[in-house]
Amino acid sequence: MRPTVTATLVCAALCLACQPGTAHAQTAGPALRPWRPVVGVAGTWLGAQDLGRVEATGRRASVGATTPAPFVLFTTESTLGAAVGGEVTLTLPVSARWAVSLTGATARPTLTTAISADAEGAPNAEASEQVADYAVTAALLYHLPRLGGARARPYVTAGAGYLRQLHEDNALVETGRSWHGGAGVRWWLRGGDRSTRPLGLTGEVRWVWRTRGISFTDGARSAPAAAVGVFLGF
Amino acid sequence: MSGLLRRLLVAVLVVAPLATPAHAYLKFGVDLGGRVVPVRWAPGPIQYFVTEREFSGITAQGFGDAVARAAATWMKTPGLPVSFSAQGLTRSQPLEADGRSVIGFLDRPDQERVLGATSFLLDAATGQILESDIYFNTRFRWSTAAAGEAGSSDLESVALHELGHLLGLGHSAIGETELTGSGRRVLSSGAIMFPIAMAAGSVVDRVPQADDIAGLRDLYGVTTGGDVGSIQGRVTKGGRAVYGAHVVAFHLDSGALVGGFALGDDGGFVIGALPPGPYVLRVEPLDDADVESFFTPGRVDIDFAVTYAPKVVVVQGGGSTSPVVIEVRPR
Repeated sequence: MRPTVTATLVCAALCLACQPGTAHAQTAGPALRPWRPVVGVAGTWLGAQDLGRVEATGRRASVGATTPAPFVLFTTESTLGAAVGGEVTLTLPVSARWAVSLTGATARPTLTTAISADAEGAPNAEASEQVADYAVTAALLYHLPRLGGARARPYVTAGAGYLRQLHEDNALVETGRSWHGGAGVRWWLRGGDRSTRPLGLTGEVRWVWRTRGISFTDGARSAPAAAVGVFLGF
Repeated sequence: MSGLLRRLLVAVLVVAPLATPAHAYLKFGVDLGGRVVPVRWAPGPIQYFVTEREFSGITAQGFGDAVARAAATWMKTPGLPVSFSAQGLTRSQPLEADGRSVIGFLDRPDQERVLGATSFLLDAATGQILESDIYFNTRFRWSTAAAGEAGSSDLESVALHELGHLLGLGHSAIGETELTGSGRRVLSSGAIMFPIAMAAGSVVDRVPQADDIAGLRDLYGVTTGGDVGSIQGRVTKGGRAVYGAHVVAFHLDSGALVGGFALGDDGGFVIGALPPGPYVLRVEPLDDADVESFFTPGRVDIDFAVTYAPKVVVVQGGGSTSPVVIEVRPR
């Protein structure tokens, strides 16, 4: 699942990157109106994230300088499952091609901890809880020339933001950072001629990296993500 | 004299575990007119003496130094309202009710499997510890070598365990053992307060573990050093209470293990002084040490399989979780 999505994402980025050389000779196509804000609402999907493997260990007797490997009572591997959610984005075009955006997103993934290798032979088990996941991210968007004669323009985007995750029943808050890079397409249903209020659809794929928050290892974890929604310009 | 006798009588009763709900590891408790109170010291320095007796090549000075190192290790727990204060050498012997807390070697050939033991003299009115003695059994070879000595029990490690008792801690069940011809062999230990010592020569038990620290913080109500919370719940089998089940909380962030016992009439347990975070709960029968090491056997149910709680349990600082019910199955 993950390699396929990764390959798709990389191919999309490469194709888009190849466009500019010829695009300058074409008509620019529909565009957002500079300095006129655009509001978007989208449904999102965020892929599963590996939260790490932690072993429950005890110390063994040690005589002299040798340090024996710890005794493993059991092993846990935790995953934050894939989840659908929603997001609201405020985009401010600063030119026909460049824009900045601020997005608030939420989802309710399930944290599942798989327990295995119990030293006393207990069967493998799972423990879980539901997590409330919130992220606020700022991003930079660059719109590429239109696709063929369609009323669509691809764009690439990258951003970073603040991650806030609440354990079940809001028992505990954990915060972290989020980064993403991706590409999408904006399809105008109306407007796009720089004089009419635009209305359209967006589709975007991303690769998301996160640090801290709910995680049981150091370093970043990553997952694919996608969003499909509508946008309305002012 | 009658007052002393009364206090000694209470000291005999101190082996009973604290009544329900049980807390992290095991705290000693004493029944004072129907009210069970934890056995602990009043705030302030705990004055102790070491005996002049030398044994196994260990001088009184070397003995005192090893005990002092163990005492200093416990005192690294921030916020403790008690401290240790060495008062020098004494000709008194451990186990004498003389108002002095005495630590030293003692000939106990009758205790062929006991490395050391701790006794208490309590105030009958408050349950506070007035005196506590520790003996190290001369039936065994001892060492104070920095890196340990093969075939000799590490005095500092055993002193750390016994000083834990002296502070009021009971035994922890976080450890794995296997039966051998002569008893039990420790495969691993997750607490200084595990009742069975590591193999002679090992020095790994010179550092308190998460379970020990949680126990001490819980016993003395320590609030400094970070917020803590607790997990409460019940262990049942076929819907009926399981008495004496060992419940271990595993912190998914830090990997720390802290244990408690289901000692409520309804199978209730409380594991206190836990750092906030998500935990996996593992319930196991008390079968890695003699039940007598922990509390009065008889009611203790060990006929069930190791079971994990189906929910990740999240502890918040300063609070307790909603009750967690863990249903176990017969083996």
